[in-house]
Parts: sequence; structure tokens; C-alpha cells
Amino acid sequence: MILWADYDSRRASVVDGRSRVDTLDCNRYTRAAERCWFTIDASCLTWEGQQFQGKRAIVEKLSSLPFTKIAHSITAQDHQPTPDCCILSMVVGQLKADDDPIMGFHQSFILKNINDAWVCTNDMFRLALHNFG
Amino acid sequence: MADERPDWQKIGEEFIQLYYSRFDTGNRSSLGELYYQSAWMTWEGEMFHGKEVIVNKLTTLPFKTIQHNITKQDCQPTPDNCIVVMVMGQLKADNDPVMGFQQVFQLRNELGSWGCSNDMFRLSIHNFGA
Repeated sequence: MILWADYDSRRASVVDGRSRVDTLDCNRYTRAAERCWFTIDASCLTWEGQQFQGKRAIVEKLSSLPFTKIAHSITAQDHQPTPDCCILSMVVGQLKADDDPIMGFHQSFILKNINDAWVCTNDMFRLALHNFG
Repeated sequence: MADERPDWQKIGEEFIQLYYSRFDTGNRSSLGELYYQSAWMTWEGEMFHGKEVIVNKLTTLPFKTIQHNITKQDCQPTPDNCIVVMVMGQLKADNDPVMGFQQVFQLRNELGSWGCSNDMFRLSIHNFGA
């Protein structure tokens, strides 16, 4: 489980944001297992416009994505504190799934501290490949 | 036919429509009305805190005309009764080539009206290797 002790420090959240993203760079099984720790039953995932709510539905979606290997490369990441003491993160990067061509992606997260653990309550993912005429 | 979109989606989409129409009509100082006094904006990695600072940044961006086109927008409710909106699209500033962009907003309700507390913007131009 990931525990981010110092959420008052933006620097810490940046570092932790990176390590969290890095934990997603593994095979789909590990990836889904990792995500169990980060989501709660109220969490929302929007994956290419399709909505999933709750840890079970989110993990089921992530673990059934149709590739066996994936590698993410983060181009840029931004983090901000929100008025409710959450952290809003935006990631721009590239990914390579199996033997598919490299694709750009955009992803946003809201992280919330619940009982001294940071959990992901909101997650939105889009491939960037439709964004270029 | 009844509009079956959830409220958070309607509010998110209305905000996006309002935000970019104000941005594109050239009156960027009016964008200040959409931000909370203590709002944050991250513009291409640079952070701005407070409505006046944000408006100053937006009104001094180095182009005269701009047009945004929204490719996709996603909205979600948050546990704190806010709304998070992620936008991807393309923009054309003056005579520059069309560029992709990504922007995320968090909207919150205070005293019955919605405003932006968080805004993050990135051009996508650096996201594609040769």
C-alpha cells in the first residue's frame, strides 16, 4: 500500500506522484493488483469515455484490457492542492502496448487522504491518437 | 426528449463551453469571473495562485487571436461534491500551426454558484517523438 505522509509538501506530492505512476508500468496483472490499494468503492474511472464506478468495476476493467505488456513513459506531470485537501494530478505521456505503435495518452487523477492513506478517487484516461487531424 | 445527462456532466460541459467561448472571443480578462479568489492554475508547468495572478497570465499570453476545438471532454463527480473535467482538443493561435492541448479543471460550488478552483494546461506538442 502506498502511504504518503507529507501531503502538505507539494514537492513530496510531486515525487510521490511520480512513484505512483511508475508503479503502473508493469504487466496488467500486477497493475490491477496495485490499483486495488488506490481505489475505494466510491472511486470513478473514465476510460476512453466509458465510466466505471467502484473498486471492483475499475479493477475488472484494468485487468481485462486487451494487451499483455505495456510500458508508460511520462512526458509531463502537474500536481495541485485542491480546497478540500486533495491532490489533482495531470499526466501527459506515451505508452506502448504489446507490438502496437507508440501512442500518446492523457490521464488525470484526484487523490484524497482517507485515514492517513492516499487513495485515488477519480481517474480519467484518454489516448491522444484522435487528437490530431 | 429529456436531457438525461447527470447534473455534474451538464455543469461540466456548460463550464467548458463558457470558458472557451470567453477565451476565444478575445475578452480574456472576463475569464477571471470563472475562477475562485484562491484558485490555482498550472500553465505549461508554471504555477499561478490567486485569481488576479491567473488573469494576469491569461491576458498576457503572446497571441492576439485563438480558437479552441474540443476533441473530447470527460466529467466526473468527486467525493467532495466537486466536478473534475478533462478536456483534450486542438487550438490555433494567430498564424501558428494547429497544436493539441490538454486541460483539466476542478469546479466547486460555493453559495449556490459554480467556479473553478483548479486549472492545469499543457500543449501536447512535446508528447510525440520523431
